Amino acid sequence: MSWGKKAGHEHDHIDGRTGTHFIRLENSVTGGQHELHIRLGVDRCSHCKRPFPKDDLGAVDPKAVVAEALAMLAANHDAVLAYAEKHGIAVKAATHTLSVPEGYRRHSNNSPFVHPVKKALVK
Amino acid sequence: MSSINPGTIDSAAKGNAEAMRTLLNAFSSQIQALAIGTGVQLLEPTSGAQPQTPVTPTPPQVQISVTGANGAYTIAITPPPQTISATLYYEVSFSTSSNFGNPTILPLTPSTGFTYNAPGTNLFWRVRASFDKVHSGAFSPAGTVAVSAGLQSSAATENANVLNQTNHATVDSQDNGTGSANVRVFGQAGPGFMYPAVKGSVETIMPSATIINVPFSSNQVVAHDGSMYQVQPTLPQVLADGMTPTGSVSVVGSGAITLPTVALVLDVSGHVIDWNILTEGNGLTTDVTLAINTTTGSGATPGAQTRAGGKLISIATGNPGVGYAPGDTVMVGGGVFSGASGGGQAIGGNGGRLVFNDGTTGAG
Repeated sequence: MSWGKKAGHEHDHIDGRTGTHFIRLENSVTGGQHELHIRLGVDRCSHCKRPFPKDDLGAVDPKAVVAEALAMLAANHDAVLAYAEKHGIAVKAATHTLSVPEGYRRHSNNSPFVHPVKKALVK
Repeated sequence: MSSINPGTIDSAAKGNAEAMRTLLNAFSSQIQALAIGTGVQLLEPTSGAQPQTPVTPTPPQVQISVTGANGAYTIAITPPPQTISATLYYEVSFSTSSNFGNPTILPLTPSTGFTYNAPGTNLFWRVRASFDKVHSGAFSPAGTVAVSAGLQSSAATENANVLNQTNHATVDSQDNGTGSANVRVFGQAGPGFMYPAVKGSVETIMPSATIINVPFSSNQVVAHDGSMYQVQPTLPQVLADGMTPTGSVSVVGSGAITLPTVALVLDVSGHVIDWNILTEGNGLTTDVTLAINTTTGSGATPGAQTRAGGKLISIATGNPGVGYAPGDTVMVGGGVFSGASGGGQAIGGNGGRLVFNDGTTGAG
């Protein structure tokens, strides 16, 4: 459990003035945030730069955009946790988070740090 | 007619008590006025052998008028009436409270007008005057409402003034394969990681971002408005109050990548001991995929790839595998176009200034 779409219209809506679909992603463990801005408005010819209206938004798939971004962010998150677990280093979590990664424990009740639980050595 | 005249003197000398009283009062008034005008200390009358002690004149109460604008206070002092030729020294002080607890006292000055810079403050002001810089008259009446200095406006700053803010963001662009580009904002740890922005003494960790469907070969300026990023084509559009400039980007152009060509280097036992780059390709912004065409070998995997300027420079050895034959070939795929000339990236952490890429920062 790490990255996901933040709930609420404030974090997933279209601004009709700018033609932008805004989506905010959040990491429930670290409090990290990533913004996605999908521009739905006017496009330009890449050669002559003349603007023309985008008459087909059917090719734009916000679910696919979110999935791709979440995959990238999750890969980052997993790599960081793997590093922390390998070297026994605490990870600073979001102050409001209730999520503690599997294999981790909160340092103390009000601590912002989660610490990897040391695994028993297999001999 | 002055009360000190030959007629009054003559009448007083002849024992006229009323004339004597008038004459003495007139002398007293004249001496007081002379002392005030010249700053000369009068002596108090004493009895017996006690030495006379000076009576130090102090100026009357003065008035102060303070206005605030553009981050500074303009102070105007109205000198007291009937000041003849003595120099008056003004002690101006201010405080955040109307009772002037713990006031700040400015150095004595003979000037009746000056400015004091203190942007963003709300202060109460007062003044009192002195002839000898030691003994002062009464303070001016305290106001009931603090004066606000306001904030300094951009119109009041010098040209090319360095802003008191910076960030450590990278802003770059990529062909997203759908006919447009993506602009990415991220920290020094790479895409998807946040970055610190510093304004004055305050550091804020800012979100990373991906802006999708940005026109090829366009120039974009990115700023954060406190809630989300704004991407605009011109710099003035991101300089409104409350906006934090992040960086600018010269968005990549459209086109296709040129894939590199790679050949295996084998030892006598069929192990892959090197990945030989025959041609470096062009326009790459991500690692390429490498697959071996073989009917006899297995297990070989390439190591880390090094790219520079959109070209594949080297491939680390990786796992050598076993059983490969001299005729085995390498299939190269993937990679993402970096753009033709005009593509590039802009870096934050530049002292708050926004600069366009000058083409010297490597792969875009």
